[in-house]
Order: sequence, then C-alpha cells, then structure tokens
Amino acid sequence: MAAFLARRLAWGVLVLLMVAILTFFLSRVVPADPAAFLAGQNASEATVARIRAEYGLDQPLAVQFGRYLGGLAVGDFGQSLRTHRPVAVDLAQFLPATLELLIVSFLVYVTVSFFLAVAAARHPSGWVDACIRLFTMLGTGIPVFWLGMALQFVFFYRLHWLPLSGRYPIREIAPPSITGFLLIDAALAGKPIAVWRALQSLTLPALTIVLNLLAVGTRMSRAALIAEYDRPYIRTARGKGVSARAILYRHVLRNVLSAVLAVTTMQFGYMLSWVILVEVIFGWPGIGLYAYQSFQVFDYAPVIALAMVSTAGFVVINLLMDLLYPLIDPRVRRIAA
Amino acid sequence: MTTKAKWAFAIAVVLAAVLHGAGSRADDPSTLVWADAGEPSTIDPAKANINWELTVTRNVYDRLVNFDLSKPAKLEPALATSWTQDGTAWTFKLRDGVKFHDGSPFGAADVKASIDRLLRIGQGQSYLVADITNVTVVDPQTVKIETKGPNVFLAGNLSRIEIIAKADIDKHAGDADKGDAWFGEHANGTGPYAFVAWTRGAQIELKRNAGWWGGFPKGAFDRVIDRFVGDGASRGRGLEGGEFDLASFVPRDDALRIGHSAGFHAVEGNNLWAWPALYLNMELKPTSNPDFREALVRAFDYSAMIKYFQGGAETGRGPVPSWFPGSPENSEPPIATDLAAAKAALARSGLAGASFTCSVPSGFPEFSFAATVLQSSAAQIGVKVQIDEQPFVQAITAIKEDKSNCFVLGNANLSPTDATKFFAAHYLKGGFFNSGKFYDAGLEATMAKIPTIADEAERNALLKQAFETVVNAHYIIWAARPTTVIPEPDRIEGYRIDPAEYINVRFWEIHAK
Repeated sequence: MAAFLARRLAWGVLVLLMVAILTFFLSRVVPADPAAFLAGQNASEATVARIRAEYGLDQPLAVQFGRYLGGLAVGDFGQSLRTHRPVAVDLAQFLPATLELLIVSFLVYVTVSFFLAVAAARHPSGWVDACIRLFTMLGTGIPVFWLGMALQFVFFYRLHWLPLSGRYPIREIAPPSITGFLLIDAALAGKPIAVWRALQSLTLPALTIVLNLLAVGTRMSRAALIAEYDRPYIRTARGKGVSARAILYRHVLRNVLSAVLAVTTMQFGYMLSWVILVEVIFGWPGIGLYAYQSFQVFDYAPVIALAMVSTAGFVVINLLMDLLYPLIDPRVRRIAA
Repeated sequence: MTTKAKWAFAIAVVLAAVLHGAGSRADDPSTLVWADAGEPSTIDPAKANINWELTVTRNVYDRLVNFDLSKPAKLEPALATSWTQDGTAWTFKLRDGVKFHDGSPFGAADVKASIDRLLRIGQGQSYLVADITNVTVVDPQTVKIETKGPNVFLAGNLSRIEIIAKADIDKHAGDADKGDAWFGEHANGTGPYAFVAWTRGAQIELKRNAGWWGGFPKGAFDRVIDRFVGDGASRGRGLEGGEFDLASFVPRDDALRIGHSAGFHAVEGNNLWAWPALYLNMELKPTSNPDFREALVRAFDYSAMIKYFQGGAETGRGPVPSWFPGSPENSEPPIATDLAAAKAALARSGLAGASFTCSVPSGFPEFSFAATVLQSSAAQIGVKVQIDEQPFVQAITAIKEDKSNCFVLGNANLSPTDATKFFAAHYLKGGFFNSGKFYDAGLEATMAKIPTIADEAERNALLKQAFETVVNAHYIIWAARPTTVIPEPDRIEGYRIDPAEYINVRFWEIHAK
C-alpha cells in the first residue's frame, strides 16, 4: 500500500509540475503588459518601467520561470498585481468560500442523484423514470450561465425568496470570520439565523452546479442499478421473499458502489471547472471569481495558482477514491493483495 | 388530507414564511447599497485610477477645491476656502477646524505631504498636477503651490486630488514600500464618509462622518455599502429587484428600460467626449495614409450609432464636446456620412480594395457594434475590415505594437476645465490612449502653451486650432456621443452626472426622499 501511495503521489507531483510549466508559458504568450495596467492609464513610461522592474517582469522568461518554480517549492505563488497581496494570502482568503460551495454542492449532488437513480431504476421506462430523465437532461442541456441567470430571475427577481449574489445578505453584518467557512463561522457565533442566511445565499449557486451535473450522475447510477437488478442472484433473492428495501441496501448498492464512485470522482472534476462560471454569475467570492478577475487584467500569478490548486484538488480526490475502492469492494482488495 | 400531505403542506408553509423577503431590500433605510462594476485594486488616492477605486477615494477624502457638477467651470471651496494665482505660484487658504476621521487635525502640512507623495509615486491622477515643482507650508492654514510655468488650470485640476494625513505617511515611512501597501487598503480622510471595512471579493463599507464640514441633506445615508458586482446585467437585475439602491455601468438598454419603469426615474447627463471612438493607426498601412483615413471617416454610418443609442446620442464634430468650457464645437462643421466623398478620398489614396484589422476590447457591446458599423460602412467603399475582439489590455497592445490598424475606445475627461490633459492622453506623443501614435509638432506646442495664457478668449482660440488639427488629420472616427443614463429608484434622489468623469458618485449628495 505504501508503494502504491508513493507512486500515486509522485504522479501527482509530476502532473502539478506539468501544469505549472504549461500555464506559466501560456500566460506569457499573451501580448499584453500587466505593468501598464497597474501603473494606470496616464502614468509615464518611466513609472511603467519602474513597476515592471518591481515585479520582475523585465527579466528574461527563463529567469521569471526559475523564480516562480523556486517560490512554488516553498509555497509562494508570487504577488498579485491586482490586489497587491501575496497570492497565497488571497488563496487562503478565497479558497474556503469555494470549498464550502463545492462541498455543499457535492453532498447535495450525491444524495439527490442517488435517490433519483434508485427511483428511476426501480421501475425502468415507467413514468417516474421518464420524468427523472427529462428533468435531469434539461438541467444538463441548459448552459450553466443561462441556468444561473434563470434561477436568479425566478428566485430573486420574481419571488424575492433568495439573494441575487454573494455569500451573505449585503445589508446584514456577517458573523466574524474564524474558519472562512461561513456556515461553520455562523454556527460558531451561535447564530442560527446567520446559518440560515448563509444557506440562503448558498442555495442558488449550489443548485446551478447540482442541476448541471445531475443528468450524468443519475443516468450512470441508474444504468448500473438496472444492470445489477437484472442479475440472477437478485431474482433468487426476490424468489426467496427478500424485501425490496433489503435487496436494494444489502445487495444492489454494495455491488454498484464502485461504479457510482468512479462516476462521482469524474463529476467532482467537472465541478471544479463549473465553479468559476458559477462564482462569476453569483458574485461568489471564491478562487474562481478571484482568478477570473485577475485574468481580465493579465495578472498571471493568481491564474496559474488556480490551475495548480484545481489540479491538486483533482489529484487528491482521485487518490482518496483509489484508497476507498479496496475498502468498499472486496474484489479490489483481493486484486491489490 | 393524508398524513404525508399534511407534512408537505406544513413544510411548504414554513419554507414560504422563512424564504419570503430573503431576496428583497431589507427594511434598512439608513443604508445605501451602491453596486460597482469592480473591486478596487487599491484605495490609495495616489494610485486610484479606475471608477470603482475613485468611488472610495472621492467619498472618504476631500480635495482643496470642488466644482459644481452643473457648471464645471465654477470652482467651489472645499478644504481650501479661497485661492489666488500669481504667475507660477498659487496660494490656498485652508479651512479651519477640519479633522481626519481618526480625530487628528488637518493643516497645510497634510496638503504638502499629499502632493509630494502623489508626485513621487507618479500614478493615479498625478498627471493632472505633474507640472507642480514645489509645495510650501506658509503657515498652518496657508499653502503655496508652484508650477513650472503659469498654469491657469491648477485649481480646477486640484479638484481631482485627494488630501491624506501627513501623520499616516510619517507613520509608514519606515516600511519597505514607504506605506504604499497600507494606503492601498486603509483610508483615513477628512471626507463625508469614513472607511469602515473591506471584505475582499464582496464589498467595502463606509459610515457617515457626522462632523464633516460640508453638511448633508436631510435623509442622507448613515451607512454605504460599495458592493462589487462584475456583471452589468446582474447590476441591473439587482437594482430592479431592490438588492441595490444604485448601480454603475448598467448596460444602456437596461438602464433606459429600468429608468423608465414604475418606481424608477432616469438621471441623464453629458460627460462622454466620445463613446465609442475608433482610433486609426497612423504608422501602419493602410491607415497610415491620410486619404484612406478620410475615406473611413466619411463612409462611417453615424446614423446607425444614433439608432443604437435609441436617439440618446449625438455625433461629435471633433474631440471636445460643446458643453465643455471653451469648446469650439458649435462653430465647427458637422461630421456626417458622405459615401461620394469617401469614394473620392479612397481613390486619392490609391488603396482601393485594401483590408485591415480592428481590435475591439471585449465586454462593451457598443464598442463591438461600432466595429461592426465600421466593417459594413467600409464594405460600401470596397474596404474589408476584420474585427478582432480581445480583452482591453490585449486590444490596445495590438495597435500600439502595430499588429492592428484600429482600436475602439470610449473616453471622458477627468479635469472639469482643462482640455490639455485630455489631449495629452489621446493626441500627444506618449499619451496612454494615443494608441494610433498621432503626432503633430504644432499641437504639442499649442497644448503646452494653453495653460500659460491668462486671457480666456486667447486660450479658446488656441483650443479651436487644436480641435481642427485633430479633426483634419482624420485620426479618429467619433462614432457617437451618447448621454449617460443612471436609473434611480423613486425612493432616492440626489444622484447627479459628473460632467468630468464617466461614472462618479457623490454619496454625500444622495438621500432618501
């Protein structure tokens, strides 16, 4: 197991290095001068040159890359030209908002897609199955930006049920930031209403992500469940009078869990890419919005940092799933042994 | 009713009760929410340069003088109560009893320290006062400012320069960056609103400075939230839905619609010098040919732009709009579409059938539309235009590096009275927006001379000469000059269009009805 872990970790580091190289050089081929932006529209050439030197942008590309890699090795992602702060400090501030959105969306997605898949698989081609398929296909078929805006239109503009954007109602005082996870901070502050307000703000962005992912997860899980239900041992169990609930939980689910887990892992990767768009639409102050705003002014360091963090997230999730497989499936345990 | 149905009904009732009102404007009449188009990169008055940075600096800090938004040429006392010019020296008498938000007193030393620091850094609005050579503290309530040559516009330009506390500069003088980072995210001014907190990625909170010398109208807001909302359509929706009280840069169609809908009114005014303007590259073929440029100026369909702005625009006759003090525009001939003249100019150029690329900054629908109008207008005379839409910095870099022949931009002037600063940025050598590299030695000399002339009529005559130089060079296609529209809810009043800045907000003038 240790060798397996070491191998996977080595691969993870290699992938991160490749991403660092690729994003660094891609960001440098864009023909724009971030120092000119930073200096302001009416600054003199001398001022622009001074800023270029301050941020090391006047150095040859190889030198800039060497410095960047050296910094990465000690957790230094460089300095943001836009916020004038170390990127690591910005990431520490914005990452919890993104993680909170991702974790809540992921949990909702896994739960909802599971129940929908079970409901659909119990009566394949029935009307429940048809409705679920239609609903999930609609969610996936609609572009994420349009879906987000449509949800804003209905739940904010028309119904006034949920806030338009942000993590917390604008006019109210948010609980003090302790962990950066607003739901947790609100709970720590002992204010149930603050937890509720944070949940309200979270609802539409999370719903946008969940609805966009639901079709794939539901359909894959449904297919796996139907295939499992069709196996001879299930027919035997039914013949023996085992209850439908017991068949589902004791037999079918245990056998399809690996397949469902594989799909879910892939979906988490998609969530990481969707989150940028969703954060922009809902003004969600996470790393996606941070990178988007930075990219607009050619502030390279945050963009590269986002790519690195997303890749690292994907690598870690995959690693966790690899570790989970043997625990949930004895067949994998035997192969590994 | 079955048990399940009863449960469902109960849950629905509870949800409806809890959810109701979550997305609507809270019952909080003392707070104003301003939806801004971006998050400041800095709130340092020596560096602030973009509208959403100026939102904070304009309201937290004071200036030596202000100007009347209705009559930009009329300067009003602010931190200075009177001023006089004597050749290259200006003397400002300062207001007594003014305090910074931290309670420390304001005086002449603060003015000197602020201007010295601004000139050292050389960013933000420093270009407006770059000719200052010396600032002297005459006494605690008097300051003398000297310029390279006589400058009649200095007082007007100081209406854009914020004053910070010398004590704050001194406190951070030992920092490696001499306090630049501190000023970037803290603010201690004398202005109508005091800085409270900056929640990164979300908003900046300000509170009313009850002891402000200027006084507030009845119904002024105690608390202001400057909310960062990057998407224009979202700002419009939030304004309509009551989440925001006012919003900047709402797309024009939405602004007009919201401004004329029930519960809102539209505040309209002039401040744009051209929006959009198409800059032509003076050094890259085929636009380096003056006849070719004239052909494009004459072929352009100006009426399409007026229709685009739903009639709320005019076609400029040159670089300086008629409402700017001293503008010669009304005495100049109009610029209009003339295909016959365009074809004749094209024939003179010898570049029939030529093609070129036009770089358009993305995110501005009116810029993209103007580029499309250029494309179709040019096609009428057999010229092919390829549109290349890119982020702003990339687009302007393309024309500056001669990879594009054309660049689309909108512009306004930050000085209420001084046109030379606008010319410097757009038409003089090295000007940031002089993307097409226009150069005229006579114009350079004229612009250097205008501020030194005391006689207004003589200054205006030179401005007219400069105006005509730029028009006759056919360097720019002034596609349209629309009015600026800000939708204001009927429950609020006091927002006024700043004639010397595209979107500027004076929170101290806005109040509940």
